Amino acid sequence: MAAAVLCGVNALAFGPSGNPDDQIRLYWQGNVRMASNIVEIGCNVAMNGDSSIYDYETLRIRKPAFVRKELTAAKSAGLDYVHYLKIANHQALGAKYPTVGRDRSKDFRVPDLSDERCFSELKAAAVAALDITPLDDPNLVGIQPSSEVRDRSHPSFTPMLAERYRACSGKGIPTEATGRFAPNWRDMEDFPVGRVIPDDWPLYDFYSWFWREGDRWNEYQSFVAEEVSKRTGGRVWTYYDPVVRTPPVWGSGGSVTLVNHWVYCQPDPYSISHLVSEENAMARGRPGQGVMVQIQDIAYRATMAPKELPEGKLPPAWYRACPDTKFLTCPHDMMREAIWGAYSRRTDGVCHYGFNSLFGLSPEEYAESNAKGYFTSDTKTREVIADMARRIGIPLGPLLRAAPEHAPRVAVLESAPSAFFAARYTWGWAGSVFDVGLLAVKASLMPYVLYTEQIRRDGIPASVETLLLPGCEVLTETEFAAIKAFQKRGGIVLADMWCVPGILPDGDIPEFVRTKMGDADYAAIGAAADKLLKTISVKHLPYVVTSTRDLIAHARKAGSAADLLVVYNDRRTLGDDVGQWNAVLEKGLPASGKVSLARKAGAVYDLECHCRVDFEIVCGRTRLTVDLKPADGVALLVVDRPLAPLSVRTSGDVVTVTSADRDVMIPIGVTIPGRRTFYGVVKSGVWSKSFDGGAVGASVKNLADGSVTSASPGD
Amino acid sequence: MRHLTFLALAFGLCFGGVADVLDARQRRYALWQMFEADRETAFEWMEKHVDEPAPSVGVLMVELSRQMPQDRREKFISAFAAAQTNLVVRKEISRATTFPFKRDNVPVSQNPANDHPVILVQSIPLPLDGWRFRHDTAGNGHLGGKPYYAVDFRLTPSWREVRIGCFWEEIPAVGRAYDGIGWYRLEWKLPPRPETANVFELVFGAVDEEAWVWINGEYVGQHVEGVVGWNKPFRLDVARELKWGETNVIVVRVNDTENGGGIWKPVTLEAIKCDF
Repeated sequence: MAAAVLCGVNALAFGPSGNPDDQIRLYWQGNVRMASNIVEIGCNVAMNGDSSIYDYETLRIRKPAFVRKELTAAKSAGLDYVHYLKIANHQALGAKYPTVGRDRSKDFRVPDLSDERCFSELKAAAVAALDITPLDDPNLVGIQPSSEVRDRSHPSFTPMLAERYRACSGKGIPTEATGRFAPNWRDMEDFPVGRVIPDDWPLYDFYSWFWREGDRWNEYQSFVAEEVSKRTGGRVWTYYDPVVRTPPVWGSGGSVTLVNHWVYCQPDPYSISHLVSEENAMARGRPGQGVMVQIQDIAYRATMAPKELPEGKLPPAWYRACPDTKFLTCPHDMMREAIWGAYSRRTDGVCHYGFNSLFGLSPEEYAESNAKGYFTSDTKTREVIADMARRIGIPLGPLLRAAPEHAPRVAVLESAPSAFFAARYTWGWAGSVFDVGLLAVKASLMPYVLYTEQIRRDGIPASVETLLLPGCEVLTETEFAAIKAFQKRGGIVLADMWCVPGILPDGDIPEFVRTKMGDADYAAIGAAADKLLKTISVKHLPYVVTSTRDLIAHARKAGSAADLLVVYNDRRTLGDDVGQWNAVLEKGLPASGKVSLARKAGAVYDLECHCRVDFEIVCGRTRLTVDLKPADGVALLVVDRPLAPLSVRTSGDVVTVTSADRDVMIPIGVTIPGRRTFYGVVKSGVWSKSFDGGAVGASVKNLADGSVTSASPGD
Repeated sequence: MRHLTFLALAFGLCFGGVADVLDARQRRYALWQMFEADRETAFEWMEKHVDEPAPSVGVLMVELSRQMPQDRREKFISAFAAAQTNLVVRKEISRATTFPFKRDNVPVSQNPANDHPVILVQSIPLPLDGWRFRHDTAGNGHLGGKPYYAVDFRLTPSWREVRIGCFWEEIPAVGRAYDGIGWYRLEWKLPPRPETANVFELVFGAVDEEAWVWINGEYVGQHVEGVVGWNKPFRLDVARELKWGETNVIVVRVNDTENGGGIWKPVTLEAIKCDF
């Protein structure tokens, strides 16, 4: 079995221009006229989103000066800039090159990229867009080739597609392939009894190919990524989103530097953690690819407050002002919790998007706005985002980015054949398979998402002790054999009633059915997560355990002698802004409890307070008491021994920080007189940076224990 | 150890009694092992245990019944359906035995991959009157050279004038106690296409209990959830099939197995704008 490829620390060859080690904090499609707002909430990268600059007939930017103007404005505000090419617009290309169904009908909404003319036109448009982009400007750090282009992808049944498939596979397109997805296994008479299919089963092979490369969108992203890399020597990074709004098949985003995906905080704010796991699973198909995650500051009205106000309920302020709004603001407590969930995971960036649901319009402005539907129903949310950036995101950004995930113990299989033949998709946010991941997050089991292709390439990681099989109605022979072998070596399999009959699970995945009643679902998820934890704990004590499901914990490695432990509060109730509808529980409540993890600590540091915290050792595990305010959390460094003092040396404009604790990642704040504090992380005992501008003195704060060490110029 | 245990359990299943002490997971696996070893024995066990209480085992039984000869399968399913009350199992039964037309039709408003606002531009109610209906007691209306859904199908006196928006039992032409398959057909002139809309969905308030829909001879989708679907609204993406400004033919095949039946709530065509 090949070694599993785990998502760890990247080469950090990309990042914000001011500090490439830092997390990217991008504001998605904001337009730089919102620059002051973007800076206010702690973002370091702005991105254009103005559709009016594009001529969709010619696929050209009709206002070339716009890009440089936006870049200049971003720089003035102290922001980096990402240029979104946005020329891959369905309606323009689709009208010219529609996809063709089996029945010869044409879908003008979806462009047929298997038509070489279409693909060439798209590539030419991308090249023209790059030609007028100031790629040599150091503050232009990224390019997004396209976004949301695969949502309606379906095969175009033309000789061109057939030829492309035959060139790759040597086979013709199966006649049963008629649309975006394969037929359900129940509707196929010749489907193997027992639902275990050969890895090269024709329909499975075709759909895997189609979603991996057949619709050619991944190829397009790769084309742009490679073009950008060629023109900039690799300095400018590229990214694609939403990367897992596809079946669980590798390749989404092509060879872009980073992948991204956004999540809504409702009804479960911690769903962001499982989304990161899904993105990691996708990125594992291209080792070295970075992962960002985006929190939607907007919230669907349909999720939070569907339809009219229930009878007898008092209307909230937003309802009195704009009862017809489609997008509300993510409630501030749910936002805070979601941000903690994001910080608990290793990502290269945490992004936001809120539009007029975050940076509000008054009711009068709303009435005059062209973009109806977005209303700021919660003015505290932007304050929360700013607060979290100030407290945690900015000072700890480099550490949050650097600390890798632990080797997985609990894995969730997102089986590709089950997606194709039983519609078991998650799309990065919903469905029964995603819900099982949520249960595992809620139980602090730190679930790892496994793809069919990873099993085929690497096997099930050796560290996995428990494998969850949600909705695994169809498996490939390789998956089936791997699961059997896993059980033979003592691994525990939990499944639901839909699992292939040839697998005998060791236990059941707790059932959980959403009723869309907020309080009932919240209680049900908690109970199911509790049951899951108890089932797994019988044989394997998880790496982290919390005494109550109100507390969610996640630990990562901060060197071989330390853990970065994030604990956050999911205790919630109905609030006054949307509680009337009982769809989501928006209001956080205080929570306290105990957290233990499988490390025998010598010291534990609160990374926000920069101080030591009390703990005890029980049966070789570190146990802490945690008291959290509503929706809040804590970031702790749990180390084998108390940290030694840091040393600082300056030589010319270079500041070097060293530590005897070579096996601990230590977050630091470096202050140069007359400049903004710079944040970094000491790894393998050293951190070093050149500060342009001549001899410097430096004052370095250890963000773990709060100690300060200084050096004058020449020390 | 697992292997030996389940061979023993498989034998145990044959002699009954043991099945009571096995949990559902083990029973399901044992049934599968028995099927792999000897299908006839498995089928006999299934026929004796139509009252199997565990949904997970019941669902497997439906699946394995597909391997039975047709006549035997029909008998088994009939007895099994009569004995099973679990809704998940009943849905599987319904799915396994129902009409072969199927199309995955996911309306944009229900597409989990859609992350854009869905804005209703215009709501066009279908007429309540002017529909034609006929019984299909033989269940073969979809067959033959001119199936009932064909655009140029010529109506005969068997096709009675009816209205929708009520149970068909309330319509004398249909009959008070009818349970079975019925076909509705409407010819209806559409207005000009609403310019700002790019998505068009046919919205059924409710059909008791299963429905399959054609527009202008093209199959567009179905609502098949068994008896539990009787009062559930459903919608179908029909953008490609509609002919704006022209007469369109809408055909709905309905299956009702108990109590009230038919298109008992209104049907509306929604013109929607969604920025993909």
